[in-house]
This record gives sequence, structure tokens and C-alpha cells, in this order.
Amino acid sequence: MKLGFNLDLARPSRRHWLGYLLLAPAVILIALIIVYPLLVSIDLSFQNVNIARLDQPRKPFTTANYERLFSSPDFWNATWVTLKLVVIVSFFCFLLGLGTALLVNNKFKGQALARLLVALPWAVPEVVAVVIFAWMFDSSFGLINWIFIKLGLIDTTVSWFSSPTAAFIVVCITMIWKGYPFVSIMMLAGLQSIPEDFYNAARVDGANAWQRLVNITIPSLMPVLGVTLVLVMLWVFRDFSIIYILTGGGPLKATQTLSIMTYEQAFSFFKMGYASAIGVVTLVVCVIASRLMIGRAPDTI
Amino acid sequence: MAGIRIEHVTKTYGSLSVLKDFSLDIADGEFVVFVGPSGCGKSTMLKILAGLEEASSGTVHIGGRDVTDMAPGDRDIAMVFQNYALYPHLTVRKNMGFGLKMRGTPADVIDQRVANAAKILGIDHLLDRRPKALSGGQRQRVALGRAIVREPQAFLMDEPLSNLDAKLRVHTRAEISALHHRLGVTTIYVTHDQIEAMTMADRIVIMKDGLIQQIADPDTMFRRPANLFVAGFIGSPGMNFLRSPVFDRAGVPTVRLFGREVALQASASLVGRDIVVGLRPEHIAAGAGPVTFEVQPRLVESLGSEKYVYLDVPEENRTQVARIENSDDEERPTDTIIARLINPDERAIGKHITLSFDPAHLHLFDAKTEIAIQ
Repeated sequence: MKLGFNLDLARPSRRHWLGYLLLAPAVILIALIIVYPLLVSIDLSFQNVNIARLDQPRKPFTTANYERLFSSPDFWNATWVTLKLVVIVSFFCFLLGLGTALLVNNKFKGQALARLLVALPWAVPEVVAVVIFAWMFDSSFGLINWIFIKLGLIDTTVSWFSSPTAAFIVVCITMIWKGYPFVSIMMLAGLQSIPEDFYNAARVDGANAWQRLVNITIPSLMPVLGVTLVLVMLWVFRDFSIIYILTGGGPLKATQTLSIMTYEQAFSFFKMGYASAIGVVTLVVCVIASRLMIGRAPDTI
Repeated sequence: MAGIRIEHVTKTYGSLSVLKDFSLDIADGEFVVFVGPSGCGKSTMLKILAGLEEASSGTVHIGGRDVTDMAPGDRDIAMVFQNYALYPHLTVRKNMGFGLKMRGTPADVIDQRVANAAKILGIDHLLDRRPKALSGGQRQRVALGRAIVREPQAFLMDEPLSNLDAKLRVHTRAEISALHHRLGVTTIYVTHDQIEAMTMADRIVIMKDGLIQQIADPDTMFRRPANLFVAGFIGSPGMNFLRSPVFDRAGVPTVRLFGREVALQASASLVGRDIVVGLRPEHIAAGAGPVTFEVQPRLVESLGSEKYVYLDVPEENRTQVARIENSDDEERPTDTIIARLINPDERAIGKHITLSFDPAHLHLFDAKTEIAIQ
């Protein structure tokens, strides 16, 4: 019997040690790759730094980055683009996601295959999906132009990535296509947790299909809906690769969101202090937005 | 309010037949209980009545209307579900008014009727709560309330008490009976608990494997079970079964039970047949009687006012009947029978015990067909 190191984690008084022990690797990892860079970027945002180097002495404290940010039309433009994107993409992701979830929740032959197809865009790597969409919307060789001309909707090819409105629409479509399966999967899980007897009771009570959807399905999905909405909005908010690969933020900054702007300032113009300030503002907005929505979720059911 | 007529209803899932030719006439205002072990088809029949399942063949009439292919909402029935199916996002008031609202009843009428129903059930103080904030018994009442505000032609209840604890179940059982007397609405009640069936029903429909075994009022069901299954299912503890060939003793058909020859009050045509004799535990008495025998009890359970004495069955009397006990009982091996002795004399229960029964209380069943011999 060893006396010195007798770590019996099964003892009731020590049981919480095991919890901490198991949590430690993840917590340390998160601290290293998320918390530390976060602190560094908050620190940077209050300095006039161009290329950040950790071995350099700190520059003097300044709020110049934030002053410049809030007076910059580019920042407000990016905020407006981000907001538009978040609202439009989230809305259509929910419409499509809920619709497809309701469809594949029915019992029919080939249901498993249909569920797979619905979920497929989610499994496609983002970059691959975007490259495919970039080709589909290509102004000279693109599939979409060809279809539109064949259908007689347009006479001449549309150059999707030169017009600000068209480029914004393409970004929206790509993000919706990439984002709705996630909503669909979550909704399907939510739908399957609704007891069948709720629907039976409503049928006996004389509720038609629409009344059942509005009075039972949607309210029962509210908790899942809230969490999913937050996750989708945060995804749109921070997503970088889709816009960067499709348009790079252009044309005329029509698709420049806050995350694209952050990247551009940091790695194209090497204004890392300024970029950090944008990042910090984005973070604050996201935290507030998700707090507002998750905070409301529990009392819906 | 209306009578219900079910004619030759069957239900099959592929090759699996869960309901075989179910026919039943239910009078206006009658309380009918469908009872049977799980998988006997009783819930399926109820769902067909509600319109939640399609009958494979046959017709259903409610109040003279053919509703066989009518949507559940058009049948003018209300259903109480086992798990109550209360909508968690609605208050009790809105839950109860849901059916009326779906039918476009004006709001003031809904309020009026919900208030009335809540008063009848004693839940008027709970109207603004959510189901989550209610106890099991309260939820059960709300589910009942949701059914009665509709003032339907019939109530269908699918094991509404099975989620309640034992004490509350007994209490609510009596309340549902009282409610039925008060409202007089035709009620069909599904349960697997024979005690619920016995205490509440005007008529019991006992089912097994999709077939109706017997339709009778509770007393008839108890006194004259149609077959071995009914005999074993109704009553607690269930009826004891003993097997014996019938032989002739001076022109009287006679069986041997516990080594005693017992003359049967039955026709002489039984002689030579194998029969199963049924004897209810409460018909075995302590002390001497018309047929007296002495045994060594295997186990004695005391319930205070009564004692259950478990007895070994002699080899020659053992049956091969597979008995489906009702849910309260454990599976009982065929080599044991139970005697239920009310307030027995303490001193009489020792190593050896003298028991007796009256042959008049014996139920006779054909060993092969398992049908009662009248």
C-alpha cells in the first residue's frame, strides 16, 4: 500500500477532481488557441500596430483605431452588408430547412435516401461547394446563364460577379445552399422528439394540417429553433471562405462583410491594430446577439 | 350522445392480423371497457374508432352515421390519451379550449365551456398554468377536461390511468365513473387492468390476439367466464386451474382433485373427456367443508385481513395451460395454486393445513378447446 500518492478518485469527496482532470486537456487547448489570441487581439486593437510582432515592446495605448473605425463609411457599409446577409440567409435557411425537414419526416419509400440528399450540401467541404458555385455562376461558361437563356429569361449573359446586386445574390444563394441542411438536420431531430399523440390529439380535436403545423409543430420546435437560429446567424456572421472565394468582398465592397473587412485590413493592408478593432467589435455584437436570443429560448416551452 | 355500432372490423399489417372480425353494438350512454393483455388489439380498435387508423375492412357507425372513412375531427368524438398529450406550450385554459378553437367556436363560448368543465373537474384554479407545472393527477384531469368541453358524442379513453400512482388511480377511477354517471356520454375505455374493467364497466369486452373472447357485464364475466383465458384474466389473484379426466362413479361424472373424488354437477356426457377445473382462490376455505383435503403449504403471504396460501398441485392435476395473468400478478407456475383465506384462524396455519371447497363453485372447461362447459 503506497501512502504518499494515494489518489482515490472514487471517494465521494474527491469525485469532482475527476471532472476537472478530464476537462483539463480541452480547457488548456481552448485557452491556448482561442482565449490567448483573443486577449492579444483586444490588446492590439488599442495600439497603433501595423504588423504585429510579439517580441516587440508594446506601443502606447490609444483609441485611435476605434475612432477611425466608427467614423469610417467602409465599416458601416460592411456592417450593413453583414446585417443584410444574416437576415436574408438565416430566413431562407429556416424556410428551406424546416420545409425539407417536414418533408423527409414523413414516412415514404426512399425516406433514408431523401434524408441523405437533404443533408448532402452540409457534408460538401465549403471550399469545394463555393468553387462549384463560382463555376455555375461564371459569366461566360456558367450553367446558370445557360439555363436562363434556354428558358428565355435573359437575352445576354449576366456577369454575376461584376454587378453589386447580382454578386450579393450569388453569395446569398451559395450560403443558403450550404447552410440549410444544418437547419434541416436540427429540425428533423426536433420533429422526431414531438410525441405522435400530440398530433393524434389535434386530429381528434379537428385540427387540419396547417393548424397542426402552426399550433403544434412550430411551438414544439421553438427551443431547437432558437438555438439553431443563433448558430446559423453566428455562422453567417463569421463565415469567411464562401465570400472570399466567390467575390473577395467585391464588387465595390458590395459583399464585404465584417469578417472580410477584418481580413483585408490585417493581411492586405497590414493594419493589424485596426483589424483587431473590427474583430473585437464583431465579437461584441455576436455575444450580445446570441445572449439576447439564447436568453429568451428557455421560457418558450 | 349516441350509440356506436362496429361491424366486422379487421385490421392487418401486411401478413400480421391484429384485429380479427370485431363486431360490437354499444348503446347510447353505455360505458364499455376493452380489456386484454398487451398486443390484443384493444388500442388498435380504439384508434380505428377515433379515425387515427384505417380499418382493413368492416364499418363503424357513430350515432347512426357511417364514419368508417371520416377524418377524426369530423366524427364528433373526444379522446383521452395515455400520456394525456397536453400541449406544453399552452396554458390549461388553452389546452382545454383547443378543440373548440379549431372548430371556430366564438371565444366567449369557449371561455364559458372551459370554465364549466373546469368547475366539474375541480381544476378552475389551475387554468392559467402550463401542463409542466401540474402534478400527474392534475394533468389527467386537464386531459379529461379537454374531452368534456367538446361535448362530443362519445369519449374514447386509452389507458388514461396507467401513468398515475396506485392510490391516485383508485381515486380517479371512481371519479371517471362518477363523471360518466353525471354526463351520461357513451364511453369506450381501454385498459389492461382487469380491476379497472370490473369496477367501471357497464359491459366488458375481453380480447386476446385480436379476437373478442367474451362480451358481458362484470358480474357475468366473473361468474360465468366463457373460456379459460377469461377465467384466468378476470379476478385477482387469477383462477386456479386443475386438470383431470372425468370418469363415471355410479352414474355421476367425477374427477379426482388433490386425491379426493369430486362429483360434478354436470351432464354424464362428460365422462371420458379431459377437462380443466377452475377454482377461484377465494372459494377455497380453511377448515372442513364439502370437499376437504390436507396439504402442506409451500408459502403463506399475509396481507393482514387475508392470507394467500400457495399450494403444490399433485402431478395428476397439473395443467399445461399457458396463462396470461393480468398485469398485477407475477407469472404463476402451473404447479402451484393459490388459496385466498379471509381472516383465517392463526393456529390453523402450521405445517399442515386443512382446506376445503364446494364443488358448486367449480368452473369446468374443455381441456382441448379451453371453452367453458356449461
